[in-house]
Amino acid sequence: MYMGQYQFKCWCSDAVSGIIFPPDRQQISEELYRHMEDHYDALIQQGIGKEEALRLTVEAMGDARVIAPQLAAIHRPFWGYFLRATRIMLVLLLIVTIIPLGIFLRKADYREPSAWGFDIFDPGVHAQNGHTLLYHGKPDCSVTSGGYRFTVTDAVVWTYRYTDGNGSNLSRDILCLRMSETNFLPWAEHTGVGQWFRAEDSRGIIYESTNTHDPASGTPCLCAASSRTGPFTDTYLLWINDFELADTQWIKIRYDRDGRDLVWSIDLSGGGMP
Amino acid sequence: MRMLFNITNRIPRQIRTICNAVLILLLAVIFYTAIGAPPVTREQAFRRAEKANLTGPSAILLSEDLEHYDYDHLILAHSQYGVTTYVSSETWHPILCYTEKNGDVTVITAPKGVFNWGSHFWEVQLPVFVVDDVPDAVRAELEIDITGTYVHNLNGEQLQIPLDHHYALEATREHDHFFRFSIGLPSLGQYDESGYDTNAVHGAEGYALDLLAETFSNRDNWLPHSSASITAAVRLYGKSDNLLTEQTLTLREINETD
Repeated sequence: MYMGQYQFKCWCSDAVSGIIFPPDRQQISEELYRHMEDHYDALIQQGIGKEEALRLTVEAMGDARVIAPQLAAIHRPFWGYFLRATRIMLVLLLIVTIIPLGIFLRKADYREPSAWGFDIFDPGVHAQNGHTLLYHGKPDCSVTSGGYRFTVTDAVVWTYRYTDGNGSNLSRDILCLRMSETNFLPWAEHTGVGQWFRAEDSRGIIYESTNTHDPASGTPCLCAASSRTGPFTDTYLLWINDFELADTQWIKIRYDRDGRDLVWSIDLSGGGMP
Repeated sequence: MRMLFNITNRIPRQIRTICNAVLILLLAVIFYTAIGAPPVTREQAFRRAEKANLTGPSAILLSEDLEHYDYDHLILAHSQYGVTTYVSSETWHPILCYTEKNGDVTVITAPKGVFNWGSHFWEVQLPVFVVDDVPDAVRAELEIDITGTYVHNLNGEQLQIPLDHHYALEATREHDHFFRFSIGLPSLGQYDESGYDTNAVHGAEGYALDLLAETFSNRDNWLPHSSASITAAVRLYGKSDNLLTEQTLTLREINETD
């Protein structure tokens, strides 16, 4: 380090001594130093001697003790510290968010196994399992209530063949509906209202929910179960065992509780089948 | 990286700070969502449960801490359509019970979870509420009858427990819109390891109150082979002890086979 460098650094150090925020102090010191070096080089090129150029450069910059409070007043530390604090918070928050976010996204597509062990809304699966698909449609009818949007997205009627404990081959027709509930508020809970649904078809048959149904009566009832849990959207599976599709034009799902009367109408007349 | 650093350094510090603050807010929302958006207050949790059950918004009549129960907070609320009880705790999943109003008088109990005790609780008190639209009533009498047969499967053995219990309760007006009663079982004293099935210890009365407590629950209450009837008679009296209203309500009918 030659004498000039040392003098310049001393001058710069004195000039920035009033600046509280360390990164600012260093940055401004470097800037002043570069400026002094440029000035010094320019004087040398003009043919002025080294010592004289050094003196003139320091003189041109002025008294460091006078400049110091002025620089300190201009460079207030508030924004610097605030920026640093926000950076630290950002990094910490990023670190603590990664693990719960990973768990949250992992849960995003959790599917409950259906009662039959396969996706009953997939026509291909029915063909593979030897079941007969009597109706397949996408009604896409929606009702909004309490901030939730309930949509019946799929409907199938199919013949389920099974063997009972005595080895007898039996079959029953089953109506299955897929209903999704969507609410984009992060704190919205899964509703669980499926147990209060009841159904009525065009033949006038009422299907009570399992919650109020007496199994001893022998009449089919509307069963409900959660089938998929994800962020912002949960899905129900609604089904009626021993459903008779013949002569049924439509079926209505109804929720009638606490002053709400929600109805989903699903057209079953000839729809959907290829 | 160096280039990016130089570019960002050229942006004024205030703008960078504001950008960071916006990113912090965004990350905070993501974090809150990712951890399941826990409610901050009991009432907030109740409001969420109410929305999720497509009931309410209802007016909260009572919000109090419970002692010696699995659930440590109870909320009673009502709307023009129905009455709700809601219990919550730090550890257990909250339970919301709802029953529709049918006339001036509605009977509801705290959910079953309150009645189900943990191993270290020795006394059982089941809060029962009569929510009324009779502001002149200052005293209430409540009679609950539980009759039938409760079939309980205990370690593979089917127990047929005859139920024939009558509770006559009385309360004076302490709160607007409702009267509060309490049905208690005798204290067991010190907890005994043999008391694994607490209802078995309390016998038929434990099962009877179990049935009463789960009457308003949203849970699937299918009880194979059981048959029971729970009725309530409510009488409300005015200041001069004159009878203002008298109602008999069927709270629950069970008649279930396999």
